[in-house]
Amino acid sequence: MKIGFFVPCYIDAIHPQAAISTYGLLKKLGLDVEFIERGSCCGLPELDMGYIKHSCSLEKGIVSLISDKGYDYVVVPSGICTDQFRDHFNEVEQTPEIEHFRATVHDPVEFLHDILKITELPGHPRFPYRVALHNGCHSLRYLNEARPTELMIKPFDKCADLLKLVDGLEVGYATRRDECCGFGGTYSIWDPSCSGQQGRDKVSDYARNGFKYVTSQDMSCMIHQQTIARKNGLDLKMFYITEILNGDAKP
Amino acid sequence: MDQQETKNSILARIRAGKPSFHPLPEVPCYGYPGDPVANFVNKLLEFDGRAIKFKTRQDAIEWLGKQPETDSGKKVIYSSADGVDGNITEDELSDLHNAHRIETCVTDSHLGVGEMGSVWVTDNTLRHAACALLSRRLFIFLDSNDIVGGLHDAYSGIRLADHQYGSFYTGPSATADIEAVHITGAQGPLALTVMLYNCGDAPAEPMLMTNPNADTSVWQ
Amino acid sequence: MRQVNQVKLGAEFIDKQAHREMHDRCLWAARMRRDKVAASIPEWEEMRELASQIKLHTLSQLDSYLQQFATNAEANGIHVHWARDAEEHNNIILDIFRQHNVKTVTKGKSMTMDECGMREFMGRHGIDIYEADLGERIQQLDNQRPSHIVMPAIHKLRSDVASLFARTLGSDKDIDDPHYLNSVMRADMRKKYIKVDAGMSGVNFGIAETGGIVVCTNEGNADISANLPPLYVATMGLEKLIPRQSDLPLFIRLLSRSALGLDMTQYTSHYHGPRKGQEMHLVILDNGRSERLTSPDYWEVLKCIRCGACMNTCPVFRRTSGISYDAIYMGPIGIVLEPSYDLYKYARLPYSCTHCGSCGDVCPVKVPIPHLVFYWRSEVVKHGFGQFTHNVEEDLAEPILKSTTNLAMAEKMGLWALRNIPKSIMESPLNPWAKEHSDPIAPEETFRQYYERNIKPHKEND
Repeated sequence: MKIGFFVPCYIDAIHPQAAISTYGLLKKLGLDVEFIERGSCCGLPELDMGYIKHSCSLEKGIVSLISDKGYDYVVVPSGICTDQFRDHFNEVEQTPEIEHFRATVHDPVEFLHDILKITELPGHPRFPYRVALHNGCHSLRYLNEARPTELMIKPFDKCADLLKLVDGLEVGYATRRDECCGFGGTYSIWDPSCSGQQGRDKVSDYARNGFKYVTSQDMSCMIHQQTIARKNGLDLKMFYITEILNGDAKP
Repeated sequence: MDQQETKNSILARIRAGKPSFHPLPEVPCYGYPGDPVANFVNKLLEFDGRAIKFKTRQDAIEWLGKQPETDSGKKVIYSSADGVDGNITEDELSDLHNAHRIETCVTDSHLGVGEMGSVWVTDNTLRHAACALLSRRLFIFLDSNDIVGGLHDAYSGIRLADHQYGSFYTGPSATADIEAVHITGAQGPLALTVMLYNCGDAPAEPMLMTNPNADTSVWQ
Repeated sequence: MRQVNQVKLGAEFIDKQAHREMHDRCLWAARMRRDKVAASIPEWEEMRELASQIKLHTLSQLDSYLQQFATNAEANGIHVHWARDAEEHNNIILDIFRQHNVKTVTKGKSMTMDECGMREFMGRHGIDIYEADLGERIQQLDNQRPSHIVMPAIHKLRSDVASLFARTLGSDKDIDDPHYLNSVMRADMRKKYIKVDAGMSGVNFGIAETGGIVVCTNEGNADISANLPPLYVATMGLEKLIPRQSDLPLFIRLLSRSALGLDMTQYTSHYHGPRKGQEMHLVILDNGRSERLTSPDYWEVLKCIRCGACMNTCPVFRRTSGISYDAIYMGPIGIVLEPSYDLYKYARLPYSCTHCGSCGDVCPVKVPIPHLVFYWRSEVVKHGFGQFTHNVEEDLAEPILKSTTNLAMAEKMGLWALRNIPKSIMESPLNPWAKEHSDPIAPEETFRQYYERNIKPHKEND
């Protein structure tokens, strides 16, 4: 199978390790991975702010990048961008190619858990520590990667399943497991007070519960939480999930 | 603007632009698991209500007569229950505002709900709902055979349109409006006691069941 | 006319640490109780879906259900009135009050009456309306709107209430035990009940099949107001109908469990006519609802049964309190309702949301709140009411984000800035990020650069 690898703008610029680890892991699994070198923004910030027209024109930019490439799947190390492609990519013409793209775009968690259904990790990575798992809201409620605690359905958690493949790793959660950490994309700029309060509440909860490490499938949440933890002098280290799965996470 | 005109213009606007037809689903008559009487007592107590079991209704009447709340010399009592007399007259109640004097109200219920610990009261059984609502202590007779499992069962056994007023009372009145502190006894009755009769397991000595964690505030 | 700035008002509440912590703790506890009781009902998610379907159906046939309801209600002896807007609503009720020489009124909670500014209107016409619900009365005495549709004064500490009651009701300002404060209110209300001329309440559900209304409360105040005086007036938003008696238990089983995590409200009362010696009136209120119904993007908001579960779960609401929304409706449902009343005034409200999606999951009737938040943001932009102009988007942001070269350049510039601009500037108050966050540690290179350097050369050799 041929995989297209789309790297979101914020990962590229601020935390490329998330992409490096994801790319590395996919290659180790023996997959034919092609980095989509020409990039643009997926359009979520525009949609977020209500600029549907502009979100649409950004979407058009994506179309040429994924057309005629023969990708069986496109993997995006970002829940929010994956959701944007899957659920909101409505302004462009819905050709069979676009429909295929929307049906086969996944973040790494979905791809590893649901498509590849891996039962072990290459290199048998080891991370013998308690790690707080933060299921980012987009991945949680829009990509359905775990049961949100308010929904009365059978519990499941895809990230936790993957993390359990790492030697010695113990998965834990914040006290308010699924409460939003306050990043909310542009929200953290428009309402820094509340966004900051939510983030402070989240990271101080980790600290109170004795966590030193945190991971998530949403790097945007991690950047928000990590920078708040640092500002408040808390000893917390945060990783994108594939950093741990690929053995790149250094304690 | 004329009422008929308003009504017509509202309905016309709706008719012109309402969404396309969505079908009406069937609602299953969901039950509620467990023994209805046991559930009823548990739920009632959770709501800070009180329950007491008797073999017969007459036993309940006798017990009630011995309670300080029904001391006719000291308390104003209203009763719409057979076999129990009140001491406030219908004459006085011709101005219903006088109901504020009532200390104790006694009435019958003919339906209880295990799922909720609720009792069904109506204008028929209460005669004057204001008397129950303004009283401080409310006592209700209920045949334990009249307790159904779930709320769907309860609604399927009544005809709402038969009653000007019909209500499910669930425990005494309550509020949690200040810092979410639970307070038993808000505007309505401060205490609700359900006297269950036809109980095969009624103890020889009447035993009042209360919530050990009940809010027993001193400010009543 | 100014736009409501929820962010600024919210920040003020956030700074009041004791208030914020209490408010957040109490509402989270309500959400936890809701989870616990919902988990005990195996058919919970099925019930939500059915409730949503029943509401969708009813709204799609609302004209015939309203006709059916009105006919049946009138046959039950209820005087039915129709009000196109707040002004008509208030005048209808004023007429009724004048006919009956009403001076003193007690009432249960009603958001629809709040929408119409009914109490203030009556006050100007010499009629005293006393809120009989504890939280509502607290807010009335303090001249403030309710901050939550189920717990109107939950943003106040007990000490706030103690001072308020001391000032307005003559109680002891040093006793802040909520039980004492409740007893003060109870004693005060008794004085009103003794002479009350009319009672009022809102309506939770209207049943088309039977022509009656359902009122769910905890305190007993709405029942007293409905059963004691010789005149009872209720107001019902026209979207509150359900078709049949047999549909009702589904909604009752969802309502209080969603709102407060309690199985049932203490009083679940059904009115199918006046009591003996009483006149009963019901005002069916439109106030924009029929118009909302005709919007294909927006009509599902009318499913709302006003339970408040969305408020309890919202991380923004819990920290900023309903007062910061400066509106009748607050929290998640508020930010998608209020713009429909006044788009300019409430243009910023849809942005008071991190889009976490929790509100949609707890809503007992599945109002698609997150979806409606996006809808309103695009409406705000379309009408040009946004905080940021189109030009910023068209001239600046979009060209950068759209083109690879521009994006790569912007990223490089961003990283250069992170590495080189002095801390004193980066952490200045002008940088909103800096208020709460340290700067991210700038990576050595972007992924693109890493790929160019480390991976591409090997690929080309393959």
